[in-house]
Order: sequence, then C-alpha cells, then structure tokens
Amino acid sequence: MIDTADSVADILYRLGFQGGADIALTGTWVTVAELYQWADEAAKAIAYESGIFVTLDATITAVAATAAYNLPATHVFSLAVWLATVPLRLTAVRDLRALDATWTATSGLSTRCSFDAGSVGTITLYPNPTVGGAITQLAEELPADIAIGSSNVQLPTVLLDYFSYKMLAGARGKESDAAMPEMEAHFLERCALYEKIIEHLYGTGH
Amino acid sequence: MATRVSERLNEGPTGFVYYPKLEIIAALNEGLRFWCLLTLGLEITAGWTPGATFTHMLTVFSDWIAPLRIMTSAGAIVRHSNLADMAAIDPSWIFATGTAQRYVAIGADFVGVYPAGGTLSVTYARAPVVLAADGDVPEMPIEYHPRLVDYGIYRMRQVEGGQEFLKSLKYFASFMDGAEHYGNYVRNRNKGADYDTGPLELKDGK
Repeated sequence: MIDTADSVADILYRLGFQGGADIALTGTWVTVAELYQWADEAAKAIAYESGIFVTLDATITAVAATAAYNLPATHVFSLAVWLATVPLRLTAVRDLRALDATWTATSGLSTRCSFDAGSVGTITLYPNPTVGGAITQLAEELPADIAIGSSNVQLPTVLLDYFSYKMLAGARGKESDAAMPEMEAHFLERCALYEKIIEHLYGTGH
Repeated sequence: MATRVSERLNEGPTGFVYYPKLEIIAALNEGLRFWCLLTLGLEITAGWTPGATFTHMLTVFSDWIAPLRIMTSAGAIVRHSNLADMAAIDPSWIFATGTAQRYVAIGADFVGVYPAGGTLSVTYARAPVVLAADGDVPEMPIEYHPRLVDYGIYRMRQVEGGQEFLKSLKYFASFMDGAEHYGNYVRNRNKGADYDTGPLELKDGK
C-alpha cells in the first residue's frame, strides 16, 4: 500500500521547500493540494493505460425482465462477467444482431452481455433475463480519489516514486518562477520508464 | 552510505550541510526501491491460505511486488494461467472450491486461484526493507552498492536543475547499467528456476 503523503514529503526538498510548514505558507508557487492533484491524475491514467487496479465487483443485482444496468462509476473495463454462477460472454451489438435479429425482444436465461448496447456506462444482458441474481464482474476500476486526507493507493510500495515523479513533473512544468522545463522533461522520462515496468509486470489496459 | 554520497557531493570536511542527511537517506531508499522494481532481485517464500478465489495480495504481504511461483503445501506447482485458460477449463471457475491447481495474477496484486482452497506456498518478488540510518546496509548485492551511491548523487542534484543536474546524469546511467546487469542475471536465474515472472529487459540502461 502506497501513501502518497510520503511522496509529498519526499519531494519538498527537491522543490526547494524546507518542509511542510514552508509549502503551507500563503502564496507559494505550488501547493500541497496541487501535488495531490497530479498524483490523482497519474493514478487515473494508469488505471486506463495498464489496468493495474483490478477487483471483483458484485455491486449490481439483476432482476427478471430488466436487461440494462448502470455500471459502477469507477468502472474501467470488465475482464469477465457472471450472472449468479453463469458466465456471460462479452458480445458486441453487431454480433448479437447476427445471432438473433430480434435480440432486444428475446427473453430467457442470460448467457451474454454487451457494453455497447446501451449508453456508455451500462451493461445489457442477453437474453433479457427471466431469472435475476448478482452480476459478478472481474473488472478494472479507477482507484479512489487521491487528495489531502485520502492519500492511500492500493499499489506495491516500490511504485511510490512514480507518484513522486508525477508530482515533480507537474510542479516543475507549471507556469511559475520556479518552472524548470528541462527537469519536467526528465521527470516525465522517469515516469515513462515506470509505466513500462508497470505494463511489463501488471499488463496493459483496454 | 549517506556519508559517502555527501562526500562525493563535496561536503566531506563540513559534513551534511546543503544536502541534508535525511534527504540523502531518502534518495538511497528511492534508489533501492527502483532497483528492486527493475531487477526483481529480492524474493521471499511464505505460506498463504486463500480465504476466497481472489485475494489482494498486498493485504496479505505488504512488501508484494509480483508473483514468482505458487506451490501447494505438498510441493505441487500451481500453474500460472491467464483468464482465457481458466474460462476454457471451467467457465464458472471463480465459484469452484478444492485444492488450488492454477492461478491468475491480474493488475498489481489481484491473484485468483482455481479451485479456491488449500494451503499454498507463495514465492514473490518483494520490496526492500527501508534504510533508516547511515550505517544500514541496502538489500542488494555488495558489488552494486556503489551504483546506489551514484543514484544518491543523481537524486540530490535534482533540486538544482540545469547544468548542475546534467552533470549528474552519468551517475544515473551508471545506476541503470548496474540494474541492467543484475536484472539480466535475475531473469536468467528465474528462467532456470521456472518462475512465472522476470524483470523488464533493459537495453543499454534504458
């Protein structure tokens, strides 16, 4: 588990501050809140780019005669889906149409699901279920927002410095008297190397 | 080791002044974390009894980086598989119970076993123990300790930027060369041990 508060503490010296009290002074060129924003953006980005945050989600309960359900707000991509204990094949609408010309009107035990049948952020079951149950998804998700007071990220501790370098890049790239474009470029290169390792160890996103 | 970094930053006679000791130790910790992530050079084997099909391994092993091998308590290999393999073997595999024969690793720390159950022995790449004092010995082979000193110099000069920082890039290159060299050794060793994961392949320290 990473605490990005450790990243903040780790980079203050490199940003020219003497400590937490120094950066908290009014009118500093960068604030702690901004540092957390860069960390938050980084966590959201790798959630999509590498699918690093995976969990088993069972927050949706299907009911008979209702085919479409909203996905959790944190949903990124579903790797596998089950309705109760029945596996659902992820199927595009064009394939559903090829399979069954009147697929929207078909009812029965669901065996497939589609993420493009309804609006973005919904899952549609096919056939329209006659029996409900928990929709269990092995899914990539977004992590919780990173901010002051909620700075933990469920990642190995060796990735702490990825967030440190994202914060450094953001701070040194920011329009200010303390901007250092050459350092921003270097810090982004360091982040790119971390992202390569993340992809190698934990896979690519979808 | 912190003293060595300080001396090479030309603070020998006066001790730690412009480059504080705590910052140098933080730099060495960052280098050590990065080394372990690049080389997967630290491993540990520990017992694990999965309580369900899926487990966030960071909740079991806080120093988790990546799985290398999982075995049953009787010594049988639990085969590393992907989701397609699992679905082909048993479409409802996440609901199966028994003694684990296969596992999937998804995302940073999400591991699923099929069937769920049994007492397992997990070998995984782990994070290093944090350095706290000048005399602490980093968990990396002794011949590479000078590379960590190089990393410390490189990181301490990040605060300055510009040409001062450019002069320190050769130290970062030295560190990366060392990581490439040791990572190659670990990769070949892991192949020989039939481990499931190896370190990222670096070329010319990139």
